[in-house]
Amino acid sequence: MSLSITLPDNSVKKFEQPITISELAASIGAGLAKSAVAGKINGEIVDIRTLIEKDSKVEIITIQNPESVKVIRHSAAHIMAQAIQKLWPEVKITIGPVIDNGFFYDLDSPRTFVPEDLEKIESQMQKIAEADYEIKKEIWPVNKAIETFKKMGERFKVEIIEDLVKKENVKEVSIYHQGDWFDLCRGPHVPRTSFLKAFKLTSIAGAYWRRR
Amino acid sequence: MLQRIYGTAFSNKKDLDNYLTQIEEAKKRDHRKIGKELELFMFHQWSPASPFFLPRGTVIYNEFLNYIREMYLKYDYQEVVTPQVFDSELFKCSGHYDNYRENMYFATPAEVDKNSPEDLKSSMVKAMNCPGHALIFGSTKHSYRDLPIRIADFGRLHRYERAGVVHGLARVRSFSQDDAHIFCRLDQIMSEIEGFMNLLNEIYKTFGFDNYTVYFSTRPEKRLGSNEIWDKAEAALEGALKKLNLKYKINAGDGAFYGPKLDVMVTDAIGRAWQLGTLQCDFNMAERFGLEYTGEDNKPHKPVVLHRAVLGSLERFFAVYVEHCAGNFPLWLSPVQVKIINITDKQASFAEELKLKLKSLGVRVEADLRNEKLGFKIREAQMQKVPYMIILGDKEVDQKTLSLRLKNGKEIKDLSIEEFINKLTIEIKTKAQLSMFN
Repeated sequence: MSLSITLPDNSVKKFEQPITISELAASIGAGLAKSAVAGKINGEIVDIRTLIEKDSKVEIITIQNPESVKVIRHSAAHIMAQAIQKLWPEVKITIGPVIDNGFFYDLDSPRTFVPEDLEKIESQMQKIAEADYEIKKEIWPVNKAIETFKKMGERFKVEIIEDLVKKENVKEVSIYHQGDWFDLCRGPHVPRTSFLKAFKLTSIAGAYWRRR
Repeated sequence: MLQRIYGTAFSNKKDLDNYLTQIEEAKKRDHRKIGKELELFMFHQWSPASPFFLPRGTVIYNEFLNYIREMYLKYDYQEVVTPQVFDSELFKCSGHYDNYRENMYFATPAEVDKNSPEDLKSSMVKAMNCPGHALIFGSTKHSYRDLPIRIADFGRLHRYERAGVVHGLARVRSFSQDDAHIFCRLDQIMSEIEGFMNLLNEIYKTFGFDNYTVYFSTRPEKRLGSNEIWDKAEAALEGALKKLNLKYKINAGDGAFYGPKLDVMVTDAIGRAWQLGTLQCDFNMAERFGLEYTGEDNKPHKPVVLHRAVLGSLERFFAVYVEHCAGNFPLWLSPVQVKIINITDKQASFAEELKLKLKSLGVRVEADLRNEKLGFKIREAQMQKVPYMIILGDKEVDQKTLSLRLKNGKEIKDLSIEEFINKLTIEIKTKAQLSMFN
C-alpha cells in the first residue's frame, strides 16, 4: 500500500506504510521533530504518536504555533493533578479542562487549599517537568478502567466512565500515563512532561460536581 | 463541595510573563474599581444590573453623546426620539416576539381605561430601536432620490440578562446605543459602508483606539434573499473595505440569515481586543414592514436597511474606555477639568473670580477653598485625577499670574491667565489626548 500525506504548503509526501506524526516530522527535519507538540490530521488535533493510517491532510503543530498552547495547558492540568496527589495522596480528582486563558482541575480534598499551597504545588510540578516523563496513551477496556479506579478510590472517574458506557455505549477508554501517575482522558497531550516550560497557578475557588 | 485550582501555561516564559502583567494591569484598570474611586456610577439591588450614572459619570456619558451628535451632523444623520413602550404587535411584526421574547420586558399598566381598547393590549418595553425606525420610514412616501435616509436614536433599551452573565457595566439590562439605521438602495450600499467606515475611523482616532480589525461575515447556509442580492451586497461590503485599504478578515458563512455584516474589534491600551463597531445589512426588514420607495422606473422597490453602531452599547463602551485610559480621562472628558486651590483665605476672592471666568467659557471648574493644608488638597485632586490644578498664593494674586500643577506632578510657574485659558480651551475643543502643558 502507499500513503500520501498532504502538508500545509500543499506538497505531498508518500510513504509505504502508516507512520506517526513524530516520524513524519523527523522525515522532514530533526528540528521540526524536536519542537513538535502535537499534530493535526484533517483538522483534528492529535497526539504526536498518533498513526496516520490513510491519505490525509496533516499539519505538525510546533511549540511556535499558537495552537500548541491548548495542548500544553491540557497537559499542565494533568501535571498539576499529579503534583497535588503526590503532595496530598488523599485528594481525589474529577475533571480538568482547558478554558480561555488557562486550565483548572476540580478536586475533592478533605483539606481546604490555601493560597500558600499554590507555590508548593508549582514547585512539585516543576520537578515533574524536569523528570521529563514520557506522556503515553493506552487504551483500556472499560471493565479494567472501572476496576482500577475503584481500587484507587477515584469514585468520580468511575462515575464518568459508567456514564460514558450508559450514554455513548463506550467499550474502551483512553488513559494517559506520565511516570507512575495516570488519568482518564481523551487527549491530546504533549509528548513529554518537559514541554511544560512556562506555567503559573492563579487562584482557588469552590466548584460543584456536575452542578449538584 | 469541590475545590477548583486555576492555572495557566504558555509555550514560553515571555508569553506567560506578558499574560501575567496584562492580568495585573487589567486588575488595576478594572472599571468597577475605578468607577467607585472616581464616583462615576453605582448599582442598587432594586434595579439589578442597571447602572446609575452619578454626576461625574454622567458628565462623561453626555460628552460621548455630544460628540456622537457632532459626528451625526457632519455625516448627515438625522436623530429621532421614539417611544419606550410598544404594543407587542410591533415585535410580532419585526420577529422579535417569536425569536427574542425571553430577553424582553412586558409592561402592562396596573389599571387600564376599559373604554380604551388600545390600553388593554399587551405592551412591551423596546429592546432595540429598529422596529420603531421602520415605522418612521413607512409613515411617508419615498422616492429613489430621497435615499439614503439615516435615522439615529439614543433610545434607552432594556434587555433581560441572567444574573450570572452581568459584569459591571460590560453587560447590563438597561442601556443605550449610538444606534442608527440607514435605509438605502442596493446600489448605495458601497458608498454607505465607505461613509460608515470613515465615521468609525474618525471616532476611534479621537478616543485613541488606533488599532482595529474588521471582520467580514459572509452568507450562511440558511438565508433569505436571492443569490443575486447576496452577491451584490457582499461585493459592495468587500469593495468598500478594499477601496479604503482596510485590513479585514473573512468569517465565511457567519453572516446573519438576513444579510452579511462587518464587526470591528479594537485593541485597547493593554492589548485586549473588544468588539465595538458593527454594520449589518438587512434584506428582511423591508419585507416584514412592507417598506418601499418609488424607483426611477416608477415602480415600488424594497430598501436595504443597514443596522449600524460605532461604539455599540454606551454603557459597555464606558467600561471599555475607563479601562483603556485607566481613569485618566483626556481633558474634554474629565468630569472636573480645573481645580483652583488657595493657600490661605487671602486668595479666596481671586479664586472665585477666576472660577467665574472659567465657567463663563464652559470649563468644568471647582474651587477648593477649604481651610485644609495645601498638600492635602492637592492629594485629593490628584486622587480624583483632575487634569489641572491652579495653586493660588499671595504672589499669584499680586502679579495676576497662575501657578499650574499637572496631575503627573509637573509644575508651571508665572503662567499668564490668557495663555492658560488659550491653551485650555484649545485642548478641550480639539479633544486632544495629551496635555498642551506637558
